[in-house]
Amino acid sequence: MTSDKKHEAVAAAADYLPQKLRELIKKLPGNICKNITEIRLRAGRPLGLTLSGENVFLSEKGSICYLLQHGLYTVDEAELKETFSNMCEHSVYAFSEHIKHGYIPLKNGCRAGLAASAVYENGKISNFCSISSINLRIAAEHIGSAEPLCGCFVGGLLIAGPPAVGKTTLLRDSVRLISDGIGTARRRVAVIDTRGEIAAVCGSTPTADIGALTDVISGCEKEVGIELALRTLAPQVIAFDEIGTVGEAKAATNGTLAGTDTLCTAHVGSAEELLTRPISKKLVLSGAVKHIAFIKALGSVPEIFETSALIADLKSRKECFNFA
Amino acid sequence: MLCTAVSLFGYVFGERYRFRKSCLSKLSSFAKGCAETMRCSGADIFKIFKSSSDIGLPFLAELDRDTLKDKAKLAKLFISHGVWPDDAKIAADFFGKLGDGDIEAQKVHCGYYFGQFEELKAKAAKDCAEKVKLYCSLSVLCSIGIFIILI
Repeated sequence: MTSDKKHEAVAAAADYLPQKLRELIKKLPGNICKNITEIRLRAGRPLGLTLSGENVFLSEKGSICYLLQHGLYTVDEAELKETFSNMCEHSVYAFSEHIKHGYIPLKNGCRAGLAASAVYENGKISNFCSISSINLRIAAEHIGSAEPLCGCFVGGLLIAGPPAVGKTTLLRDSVRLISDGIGTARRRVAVIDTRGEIAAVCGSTPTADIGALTDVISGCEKEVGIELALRTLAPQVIAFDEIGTVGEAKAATNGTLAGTDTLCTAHVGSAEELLTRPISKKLVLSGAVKHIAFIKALGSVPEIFETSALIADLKSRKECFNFA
Repeated sequence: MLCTAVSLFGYVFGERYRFRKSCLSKLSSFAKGCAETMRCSGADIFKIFKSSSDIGLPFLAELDRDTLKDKAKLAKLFISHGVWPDDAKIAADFFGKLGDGDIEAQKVHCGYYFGQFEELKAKAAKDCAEKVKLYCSLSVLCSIGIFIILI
C-alpha cells in the first residue's frame, strides 16, 4: 500500500472520531500515519495507537508518546458514544447482527472491535451495552505481499499467525494473485467475506483489489457461505478469513471433496499450536490444506510448511500426541 | 382588483393550514413505514432519507450526521421548509433519535411518533376545516364591504 493510500485510510477511519480527536489524528505526519494499524479508544483512559505493532499514546497536543505521562489525550464516555454512533451511521439497527458478534464493519475494509457488557437472551448474546472501548483497525492493502506464496495455492493454503500480523492482508493479495493468474494458474475464487474486511464491498463494488475472477458473498456466516458458493458460484478456490468453528472446518473439507481449494486464515501463536487447537487441527488433518504459511510478526516473510511434513515432524517429536 | 386581492387573502391564509395538514400527513406516513423499511432493507437512515422524496419529504435528503445531533438545527431546518414550529420540535425529537437501537427499539420509537403525528394531523385537519372556512368567509365579506364603500 502506498503511503498516500495509507494516509487516506487513516483519514477515513479518523472521520468516525469526534471532531477534536479527528483533527489531532489528521495532523499526524505522513510517516507516522503510514504505520498506524489501530486506533484504540478506551473510556476514561488515554487514546492508544498501534504503530508498527507497538502500543503508543497520543498527547493533547497531537504528538506521539511512548510512555504513560501527563498531558495524554484522555477519551471520555461521550466521545466513545459519538464514535460508536458515527460508525453505525446513526443506524444501530442496521449493524445489530454485527454488534452481537462484537464488531462493526466500516468503509474501506476497516473494522471496529467493541469491548462492552454482553446482554444475554435465551443463552445467546443478543446485544452489547455500555461500550467501554473501541478498537478501530485500519485496513492495509499490500499489493504483491503474497507473491512468495504463489507456489502454494494449489491444494489449499492456510495462512496462520498471531492476531494483527497481516493475515487478512496476505489473504486478500493471495485472492488477487489467483484470480488474476499472477504467478499461478488463473482460477475462479469465491470469497466468503463475513466481516467485510477482505473485499471491502461498498454498495455492490469491492473497494479492495481482489482480482477479475472473484465473487464475493458478504455478511454471511462462513459455514453457510461456503455451502452457498459451492452450490451457486462453481468456484475453483474458496477463500475466507479466521476459521473459528468446527462447522467451518467441516464446510471447508466438503469444499475440498467437491474439488475446490481452500484459502483461509487462522489465529495461532506458533506452527505447533495448529495441531493442538481443535479447529485448525481438524482442518489440517482433513487434508483441506496442503500448505501452511506461518507469519510470526507484522511485515515478516511467511514461513511455508507442507502440511504432511509438519504433521510427520510433530508426530516424531511428540509421540504421545493424539492425532486421532 | 382590490376586492379580488382581499378575497385571495383568505385563500392564502387558509393555505398555511392545508400545508400543515399535508406535512403532518407525510411525516406520519414516513413514521409508519420507517421501521418496516429499516427491517427489510437494512439500509442506514441516510439512505432511507434520500429515498423519502417519493413520499413528498425531499428535504430529508439534506439531513446529515451533524444536523441529526443538534435538535435546534434540525428544528430550524424543518421550519425553513414550512413545517410549523411546534410540529418541527416534535419532528426534531423523532428524527434526532431515529436509528438509536435495534430494530425492536426502532419499531417502538416509530410507533410512538406515528401516534403523535396522527394526533397532530387530526387536530390540523379540524383546524384546517374551521380556519379555511373562516378566512375565506371573512375575506369575501371584506371584499364585499370594500366594494360597497367604493360604490
